[in-house]
Amino acid sequence: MIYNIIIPALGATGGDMVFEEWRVQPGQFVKSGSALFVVTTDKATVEVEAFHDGYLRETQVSPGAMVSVQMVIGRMTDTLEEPLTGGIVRETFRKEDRIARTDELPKTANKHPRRLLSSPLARRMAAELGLDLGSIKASGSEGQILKRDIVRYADQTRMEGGVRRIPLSPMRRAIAQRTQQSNTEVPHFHGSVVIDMTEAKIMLKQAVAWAEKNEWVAPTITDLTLRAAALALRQTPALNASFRGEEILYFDDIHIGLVIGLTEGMLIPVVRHADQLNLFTMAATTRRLRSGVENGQLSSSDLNGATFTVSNLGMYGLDSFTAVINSPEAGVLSLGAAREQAAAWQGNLALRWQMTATLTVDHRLVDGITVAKFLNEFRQLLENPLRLMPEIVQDDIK
Amino acid sequence: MTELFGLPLETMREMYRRMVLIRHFEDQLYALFLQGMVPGTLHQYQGQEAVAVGVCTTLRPDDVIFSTHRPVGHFLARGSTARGIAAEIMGKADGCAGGKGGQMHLTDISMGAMPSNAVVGANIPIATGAALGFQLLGQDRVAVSFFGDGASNTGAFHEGVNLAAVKDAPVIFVCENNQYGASTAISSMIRIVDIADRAAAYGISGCVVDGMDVLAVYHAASEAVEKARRGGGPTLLECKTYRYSGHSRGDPGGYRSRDELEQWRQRDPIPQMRTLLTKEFGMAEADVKSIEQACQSEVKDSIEFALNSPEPAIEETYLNVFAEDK
Amino acid sequence: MSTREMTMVEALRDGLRVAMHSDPGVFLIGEDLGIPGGFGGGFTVTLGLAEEFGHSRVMDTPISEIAIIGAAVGAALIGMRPVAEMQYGDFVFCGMDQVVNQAAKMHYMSNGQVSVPMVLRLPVGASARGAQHSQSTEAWFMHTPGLKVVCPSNPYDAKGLLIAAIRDNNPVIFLEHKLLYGGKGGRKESSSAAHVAGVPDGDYEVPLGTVSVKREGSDLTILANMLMLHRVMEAADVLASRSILAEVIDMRCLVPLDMQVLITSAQKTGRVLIVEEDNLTGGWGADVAARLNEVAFFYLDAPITRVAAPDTPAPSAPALEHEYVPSVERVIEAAVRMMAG
Repeated sequence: MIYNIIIPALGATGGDMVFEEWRVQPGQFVKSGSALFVVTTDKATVEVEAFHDGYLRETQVSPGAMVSVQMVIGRMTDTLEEPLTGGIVRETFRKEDRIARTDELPKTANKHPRRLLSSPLARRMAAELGLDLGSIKASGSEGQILKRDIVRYADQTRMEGGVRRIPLSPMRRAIAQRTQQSNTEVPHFHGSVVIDMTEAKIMLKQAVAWAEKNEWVAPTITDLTLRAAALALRQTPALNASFRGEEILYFDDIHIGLVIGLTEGMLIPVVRHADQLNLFTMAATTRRLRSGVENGQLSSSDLNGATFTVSNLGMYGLDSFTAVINSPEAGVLSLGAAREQAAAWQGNLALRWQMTATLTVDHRLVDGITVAKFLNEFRQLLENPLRLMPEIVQDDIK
Repeated sequence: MTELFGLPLETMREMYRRMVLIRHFEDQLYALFLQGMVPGTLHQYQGQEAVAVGVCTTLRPDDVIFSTHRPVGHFLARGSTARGIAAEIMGKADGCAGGKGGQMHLTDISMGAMPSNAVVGANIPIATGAALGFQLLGQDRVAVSFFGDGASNTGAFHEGVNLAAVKDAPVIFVCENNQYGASTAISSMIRIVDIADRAAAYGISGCVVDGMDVLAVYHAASEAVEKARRGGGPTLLECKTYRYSGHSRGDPGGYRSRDELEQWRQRDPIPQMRTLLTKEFGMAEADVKSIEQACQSEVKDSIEFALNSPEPAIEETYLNVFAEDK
Repeated sequence: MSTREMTMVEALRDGLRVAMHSDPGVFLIGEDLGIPGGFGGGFTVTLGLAEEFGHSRVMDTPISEIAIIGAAVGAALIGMRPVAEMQYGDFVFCGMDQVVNQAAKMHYMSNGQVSVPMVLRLPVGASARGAQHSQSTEAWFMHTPGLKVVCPSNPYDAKGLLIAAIRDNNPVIFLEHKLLYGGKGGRKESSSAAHVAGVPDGDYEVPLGTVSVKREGSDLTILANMLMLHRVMEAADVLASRSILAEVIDMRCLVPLDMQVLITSAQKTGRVLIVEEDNLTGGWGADVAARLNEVAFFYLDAPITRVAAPDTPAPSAPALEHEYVPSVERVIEAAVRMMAG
């Protein structure tokens, strides 16, 4: 029997090795377990034993040669007499034949270095805590972020004295930058009106019934105010503009951003061509945008290109407020809650629903008269809400 | 003559009617198949009617039969309705198994017809098991296993027959030797000519019967059934017969010669029986004709019924995987 | 009901006895079950039952796996409750058609007209007898709709599950690990664990479709069955000494499977380790892992991992079998690696 002498896997990192010397001469007998040759790996110099009794018959490398794992470097035989050709050849045990116990990832698996690896649990915890995964140090062996990393991070934000230090999330950073810049650069001027919403509320009820009858999306107060704002903007094109240093840009199209509050901040999706939507198509659009915010499924055209912004914090109970302008827009309309209050009505004291609307503008390109004009038009529309309905509905309601 | 082999005229008339019913059913279903209206394929029984009817006539309602991928003959012979079978073949909700079994897996418990089996030979040890059950219960019911010549070469045949022999189980093994296992002629699959010879190897009785003669089948089967009921053990009944159609409906039968088919057509069990009834028993031609017409319309009605029956509800896919605890 | 210390063999024997007393339709069928002076089935489970119930109800057959299983199907179809035994679970493959094509499908194909209330008992597990006498066959039967699959790890469960299986109206594959039998009959396994436990004397059932939380923990969930359950419990003790608290669940019934318990545990610990004696590819662990992944993915802090026998036939030499069957050390190693992340 002929045996191939092979460089075994010596537990080194698998790079090339240097063959140092043979410990036996060709023609000599070597006992199984005694030294046969010497090799230097990148870690150490190693003596390799013979795997069985036999005679060294042939050497294929000399001292100083570069060798690698599984390379055949010589041959042995059971007896001295047998020829070196035509016989049965045995190899020493090859590790690759072993059935793998588990699958292994190829070494080049993570080809996207910017991709964050984290366990599903860690990802969920981070989302719940409003943490940015990018700022968390990973301790997993594959570079993945684990639950313990989230826990450690959350713990570390506790300091003595009851102060929690939490880094800015991307959304919070964006809001901070935007509002700071707007406040610094833009001269804010605002005016407000109180609007009698009693008729509008009645009209809205009818519109909702109409929508349900046709299986459309039911409109809300916000949809009504958006429609009114869009129509009012048409009458005051000076507001649908932007200050750009040496010039002012006036836009033909009216795209209104609607502020939607979230626990971690806000998003301002855009109702495009808001003046071309009737009350019902407006309702459908805002419904779609709201669910897009919830599911995180807004496209870039949903989030960019607004020429004006409306913010309705009335639903949270604020009577009035002054929003910060969403630069480079020219104005933002802030709407408070509609409340039933005592008011003068047709010469008498009556209970009427009142809502405060505040328009804040960039004073560099919009003056007080324009503010008054817009707010008056806005008020007129809401106090004569039939003008907000599409014709077909108007006939039916009348 | 009012009886033959102890059989009254009414019984023989009924045996004739059932054979005619089977023939008409299979023929009309074939016509439907040619029009592309039958899902899957058909394994048809024309030519073998005498075996099913001859054997099943000997049985009591509380006996059980185990059939094969070619079950229509056995089921109609046992008294199962043509409507239930047609609807089952067509995969409709009113099929005897709600469309879940299909042509090869008919079941009609009300008639003592167990789920028919599409694995050749598999029903043999199962029938033995049913017979062992009757034995343990101290009942004199019997089980009948129908199978073909091809099945007699399976391990299931060997084990099932041997076990029945050793336990004297009340089971009758009816081998319908129609000379072919699918397309392979029996002579190239078995050295012996009579499969019944194998009975001796298990120490049970075996006998060869002319499977084209319904009364001969009846006679041999009733002896075997009585023996089993008495505790005398199993019998291997080999009925030499022939199927006029291919193995399945996708089979044009190119492996059989026209002459061979013709020879067996001469021995068609139905004309044989008709001759006996009219010549020996003086049955009127009109009476015979009325039987045939009744069968034609019964089959026609069953096909109408099947075609008009609804598809099973989609939820049925998920039902009856497991039996409920009672 | 009084309680007695019993090995699994004694518990199974007692379960058969209880079932046969309570229902005359229950009978046993298999090889060498009731031979006078014989050994009471492959592993002495049926010893003495033929003397008590007679040689008809404890039915001996030739070496005919197709006929044993087929006859059980037939008897079940006409209303009996047969308990069939394969001398070694590996021999079930001789009669697989009767299990998979016949027993499992009759209820469905007949649209509920018939049912097959039989139990098929299979002695399984590696025991130095080589590749054809060592398999764990759960996965073959899990994959066949219409079969229930039971695999107890201790005498109490064994008796209760067997009685429940006999009374179930469906075909139940009942796996018994050879090394857990515990002897007390003529043929005792040389390396069997002396698993003895207090078992009630009378008639009780452990319901099918349940798993059992054998140890509570918060760090990782370990699922195991039969012999592996015992190895995992040993490993859990060692892990506890290293402050790793494992929750151990005995997968004593694989079909029907109580996923809710598994999901709740996975949600609690975030890590699931499956330890099985069958071969890795297509083993029962693969299915459970896939199902848990589908439902509990977002609660996992680590991938669901399996420790199983490698994809080789079972070697015979004890040294090699020791490498083949997952050891306590391998379980500990896998758990530690999972915790390290």
